[in-house]
Amino acid sequence: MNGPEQWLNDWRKAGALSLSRHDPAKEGITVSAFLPAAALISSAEKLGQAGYTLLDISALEALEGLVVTYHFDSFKEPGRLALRVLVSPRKPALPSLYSVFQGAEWHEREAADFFGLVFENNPNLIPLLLPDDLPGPPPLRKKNGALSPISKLGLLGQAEIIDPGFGAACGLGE
Amino acid sequence: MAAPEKLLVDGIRKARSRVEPPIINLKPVNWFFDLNRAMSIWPVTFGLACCAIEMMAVSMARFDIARFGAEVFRPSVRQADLLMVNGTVTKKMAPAVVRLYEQMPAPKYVMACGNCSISGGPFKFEGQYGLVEGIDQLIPVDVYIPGCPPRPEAFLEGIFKVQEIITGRRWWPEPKEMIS
Repeated sequence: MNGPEQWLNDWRKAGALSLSRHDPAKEGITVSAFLPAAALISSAEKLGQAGYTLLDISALEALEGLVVTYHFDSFKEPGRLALRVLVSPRKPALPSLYSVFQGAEWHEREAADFFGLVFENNPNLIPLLLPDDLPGPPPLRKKNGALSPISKLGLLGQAEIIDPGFGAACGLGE
Repeated sequence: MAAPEKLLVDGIRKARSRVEPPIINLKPVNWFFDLNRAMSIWPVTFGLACCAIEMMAVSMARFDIARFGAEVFRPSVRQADLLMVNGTVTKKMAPAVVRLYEQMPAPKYVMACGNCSISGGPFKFEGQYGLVEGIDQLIPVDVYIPGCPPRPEAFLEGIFKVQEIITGRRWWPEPKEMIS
């Protein structure tokens, strides 16, 4: 059994860029972390072994890049967890979670539809909700000038910045 | 070579088939057949969004579309003569709607039910990416039923209107509110 604090420790060891504690009554999640893309699969595997399931994959375009959020929940323990990854909007590539949670395939296809994300090793990365030949850029990518920095999006809760580079990029340097 | 077809909505082509006048036009005979058609309209069991729920309501006991002969909902368009486009037509679904229309044998009639299929309705805004703003850009529409969704009574009025288009007259008394 892993409580939220153990998960934070786990993610710290996995090389998290920042760790956050949230008020679950207000934000719906207990703890979250920004992870480097390379640590995503191993962290998801650990959550899977502890009985957590993948709820959804959502994306959000911020000034610093695309924030992709993976929400997890468990039937055994209260509280949801969130893993976040920051990817560059110019080359939005991420490893697929298909090998850990098969259902991730659909969530990834949806995120690919709307944000142009590329999930490597997803076996079937074709549009899920939008037509194959929709012209123009991915529809939920924002125009320049409409973007906010991550620090203003309310994603970080009570944050502890571990990677100084990440903190400086988000304007949260110590 | 024919000029390339102009596509109204991103890459979705219009229906190519159209209804031609009868080859042998014996007026009394056609009038008799039209009257029978109007009193036994077979709609398609076809729903895209919440307006389809109202279509189900109108086919149930309380509003009872069977009183006007239109209760035989067909699962195949090849057996139907009325296509009700119920609800939001997405760009992904639109080619299928066009194909359904083309598969219907003539004479065939189309009702655009609800604001979405008439004009895009509440989803028509600058920057929307997923919807066809008005199914009449793709297939010819005979009757428009506004509403979000339309009341079942409005569906019945739509059926009356289709009957009027087929036979040239209204067959049912008008409600008092409509006369005044």
